[in-house]
Amino acid sequence: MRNAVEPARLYPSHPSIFPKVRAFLHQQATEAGLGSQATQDLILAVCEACANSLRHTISPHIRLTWRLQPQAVEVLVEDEGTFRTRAAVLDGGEANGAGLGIPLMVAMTDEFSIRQGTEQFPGTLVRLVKYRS
Amino acid sequence: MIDQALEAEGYVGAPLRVLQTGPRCFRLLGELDLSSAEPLSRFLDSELALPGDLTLDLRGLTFIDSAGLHLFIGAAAALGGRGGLRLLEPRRSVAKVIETTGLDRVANLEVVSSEDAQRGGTGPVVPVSPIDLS
Repeated sequence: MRNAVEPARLYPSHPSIFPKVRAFLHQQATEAGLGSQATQDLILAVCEACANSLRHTISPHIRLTWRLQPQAVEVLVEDEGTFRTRAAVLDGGEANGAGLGIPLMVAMTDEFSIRQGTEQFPGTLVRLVKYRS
Repeated sequence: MIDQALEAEGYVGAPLRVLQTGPRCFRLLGELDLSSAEPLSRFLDSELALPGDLTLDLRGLTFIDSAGLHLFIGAAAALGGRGGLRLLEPRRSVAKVIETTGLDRVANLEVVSSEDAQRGGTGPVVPVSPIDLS
């Protein structure tokens, strides 16, 4: 269930969004008092999720939602697309950075999950959690 | 408490720029991501066509993602047996990404830490010509 007061941003699906994505996350992390290493880890993980959306889905937008929990920070990365090739996200053979994205997301977060959009149920949701301790 | 060094280092929103600091030696300044990897790759193409080692000074690089890592892997492969790719003194956040992904174990690619550089005496680098990739 989405909370109306949760900070969120809607970006066009374009590589030029990354500085804005990082600025948004940095601002939220600063306000939340998240540590510098945790902030950098989370920013990288979220950027990888956005990059995967750009590489593998046809979606006009990417939405970020920032959720502050007592012990953790949770970021949702959502698009409106379907995976052009469902297995592509796990393919390590592409030259533009695909293949390292998911391992980096796993390594940089404490919890990670992905629901791939399909033609029947469009919209991919990536959930990234970083503990605040 | 957020580390104030993040902002002091210009962590957010710095577009990638390149300074040539010597023959086949370039310092990267700013953030290397999906949007900046392609213009940087085009910029390096002419250097990768020539034999000899290529050095990228990462002291000014504040962010790298998987697209940047793949650029480095591709550059090392492109040099083949004609030379190697040296990544010089990545700062802590970038070094963590490099170590996490095992980039430092890629063939034909050497990561020189600040400690290594001090021991090896890489010498000063003097900016020669700024190159805006935007």
